[in-house]
Amino acid sequence: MNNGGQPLGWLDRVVVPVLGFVAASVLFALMILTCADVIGRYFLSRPIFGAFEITETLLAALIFAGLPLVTLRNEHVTVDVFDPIAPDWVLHIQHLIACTLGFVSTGYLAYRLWLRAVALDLGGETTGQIKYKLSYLAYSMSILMALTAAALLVLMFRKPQRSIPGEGPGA
Amino acid sequence: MIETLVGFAAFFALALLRVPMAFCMGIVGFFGVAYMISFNAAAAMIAQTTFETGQSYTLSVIPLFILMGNFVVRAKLSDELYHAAYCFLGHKRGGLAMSTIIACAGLRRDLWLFHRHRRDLHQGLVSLDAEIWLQGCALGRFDRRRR
Repeated sequence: MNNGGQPLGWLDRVVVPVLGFVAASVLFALMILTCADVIGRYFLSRPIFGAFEITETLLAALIFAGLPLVTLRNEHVTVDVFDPIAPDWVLHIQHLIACTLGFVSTGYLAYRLWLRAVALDLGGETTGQIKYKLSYLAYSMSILMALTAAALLVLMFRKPQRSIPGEGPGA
Repeated sequence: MIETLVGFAAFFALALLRVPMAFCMGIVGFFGVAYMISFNAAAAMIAQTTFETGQSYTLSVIPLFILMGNFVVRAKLSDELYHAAYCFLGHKRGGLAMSTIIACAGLRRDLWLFHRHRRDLHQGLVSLDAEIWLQGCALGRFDRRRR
């Protein structure tokens, strides 16, 4: 894992394998579901019941399970053209600002998502076909968003990593 | 008009501070709506937008395309296509560029076969995305191997 050779915290040891497993299973389920749905629709004229909604839910789960992982691995899309030439202190200030802004925005978003989940819960909103309660999804989105905020807070105290073209795992 | 320019300036300033793109756009969008309409509207909007966009069926092709791209690379499909094209064209002048283009065209045909079956999705956008992405991958990979 790309954490700059620093000791792994509990977040890396517990959250990363669990969420990685969840995200991988969700992606696999998405693949199988799409395949089965298309085959059922075109060859057997029997699409899977509620496949549209299951796909939507799985996609949301995949994105939000991936968020803390992406954050912990420093794999967000950033403008890093100045990385090879920026001095260390500039990089450090950039890292602090980026993590703080990210922490504030994800934390606030988690709070707003929680409020929305409560509203959905009170309204008892469900999806159209399979009557799955939308509030469960919104609650889990909110929790995972809060986890992303926690990951950014952890990242703030770690050493910033330069991304230099031609090096590192992304190259 | 001036609000747009301020928004863009703020976005570029944040981006150059190495703030991830997602947060740059989110922050600028949030404060833009808060300034133009009201804070409450902006606060309600971000939760709504996040919730709705996360569940967008159309966007479900993106993780699947990335997964397929990984399969294609792992199965050495792209390497073999490139190798075949290079055998045909490699000895000519500009053979490297031409065979790269042919390899991309080959990948594109495979892709086309794949997403003909998902034509209920937003096809133009999707094929464009996948092509740009795969061509980027292909060019990056092949260039590095040749060096």
